[in-house]
Amino acid sequence: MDHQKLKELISSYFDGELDKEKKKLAEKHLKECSECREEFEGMSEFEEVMGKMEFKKPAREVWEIYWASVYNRLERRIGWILLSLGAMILLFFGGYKAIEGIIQDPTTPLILKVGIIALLGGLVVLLVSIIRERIFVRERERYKEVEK
Amino acid sequence: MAEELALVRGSVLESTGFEMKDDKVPSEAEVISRVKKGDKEAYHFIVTRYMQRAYYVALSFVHNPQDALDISQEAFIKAFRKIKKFDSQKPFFPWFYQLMKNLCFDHLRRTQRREEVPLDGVRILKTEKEDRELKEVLWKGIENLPQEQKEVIILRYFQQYSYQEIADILEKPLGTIMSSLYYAKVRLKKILGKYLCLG
Repeated sequence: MDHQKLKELISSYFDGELDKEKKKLAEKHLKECSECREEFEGMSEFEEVMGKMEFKKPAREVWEIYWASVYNRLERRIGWILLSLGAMILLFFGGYKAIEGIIQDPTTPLILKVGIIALLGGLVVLLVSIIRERIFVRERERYKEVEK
Repeated sequence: MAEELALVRGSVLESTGFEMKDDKVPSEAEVISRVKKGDKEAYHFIVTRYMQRAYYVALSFVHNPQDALDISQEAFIKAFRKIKKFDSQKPFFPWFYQLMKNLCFDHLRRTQRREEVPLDGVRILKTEKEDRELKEVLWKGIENLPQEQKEVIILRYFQQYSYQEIADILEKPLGTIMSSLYYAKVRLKKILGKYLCLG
């Protein structure tokens, strides 16, 4: 085992993470190698300081209402999806009916009808383009599986 | 950990209405397969088992307790939506950890808070008086570690995971964890030198 690996082993030794065999190896090397003894001198003091670090605990109530918060947010999200879907259907239907009325009205000027049809055509093209781009980019994205 | 276990074995099992065979806690794979069928009570069990770990992991990334709480809950919502893609034969937490880590990074990118080194959520225990200077130096040192070393140090010292558990969570070989911890400790020990009287 090279010296670098032995150092890593000794570091793990101080963490109590070695099996019997590796523990013996680490102890033997510590006895023989003054460089390692020097490097790991004061390790227990370091471990002591590190062992005293912790994140502050939030109030107990946080845990008591944690699931309720998750559940409510889950439920609310489903509510929002249904609400958005319903609003979209109503808007499309209302818009369709309104435009149908304007187009079919013989008193509406031709220029207004052309304008409305162009507007609608533009909206459809934009919508299709955005959807296609989303799907295309997602399929081709080279780094989508890379951890951010 | 003990508190977490008590929660799982006690109130959670009762409140989630889990059917227990021979008074045994159901296996995670069993619970996950129920979650996959849309069983929210089963998910209650999973959330309660991992909520504290999730919160502290998020806190280690974003530093702000409110944001950490919010992101950890968001991660559970996202995990529920994606649970069908999860292989229930594998442990839940490593998969969830990666998902939450991405959420934390998204949050940091949005809020641009990465440069800060807030100390509000961190403390040093068992000292007569909290040594603010030591805490500041140490936390800044941890913050400046390369990402993998930082994660390993936090999981080891702030959450007391074993090497094997860290390897499972980060989905890295045990040897890599051993090396990362060693290099992180060398750096931190150097930073803490004068406080430890090591020169």
